[in-house]
Amino acid sequence: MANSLIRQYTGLPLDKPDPGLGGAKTIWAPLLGVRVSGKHLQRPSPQIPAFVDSGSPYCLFHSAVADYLHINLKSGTEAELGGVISAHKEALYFHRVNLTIENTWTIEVFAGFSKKLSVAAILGRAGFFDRFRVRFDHSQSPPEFEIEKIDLIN
Amino acid sequence: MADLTLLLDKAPRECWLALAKDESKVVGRGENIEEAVAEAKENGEDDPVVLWAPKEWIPAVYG
Repeated sequence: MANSLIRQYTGLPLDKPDPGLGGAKTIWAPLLGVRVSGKHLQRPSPQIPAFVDSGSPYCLFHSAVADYLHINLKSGTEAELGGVISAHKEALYFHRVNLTIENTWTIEVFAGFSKKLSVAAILGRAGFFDRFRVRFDHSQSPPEFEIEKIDLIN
Repeated sequence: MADLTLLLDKAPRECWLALAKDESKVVGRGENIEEAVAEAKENGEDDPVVLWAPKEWIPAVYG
């Protein structure tokens, strides 16, 4: 099995030209395809693009993913999460799930699920960045990134 | 993944979208993932890529 892979960023639309990006109408984002499954790997989700985001303390998924997996959202461990701009807090429910990343690696993570997440999936520090070394390369356009699996000793 | 700018700019909003496995076209949509996957299957795509299409595509900080 490969120990690392390199992916180009994915271009996503912007409805208005972004002055912070020189008027661009495309924003480039580091996305990986993930499949989410319950503890017993039955009926995994379809492939979902997940943002690779070191700003997130843990892996997050929209509650619709829990619905697809027939996970009872509110049976999980409850917590709260705040946003960067809004002071508003939202309920999160943590569940232990398996993630298959780019059809290559399957890892177990304790991930938060929220009805208010504005994207389908985020790969954050606990669960993802502690399992993979990640290198972002913005020296070219579009940018690319590399992930390398960390072999855990225990 | 590739440059999805043109594809997603013209696609339906505030719904789950199913893209063809090669991400060349939208093959399904739905109020939930199940519906989007079912429509993709009706359109011949058994292994779609599924994502949320927001009401507005704006820059965001997620973490």
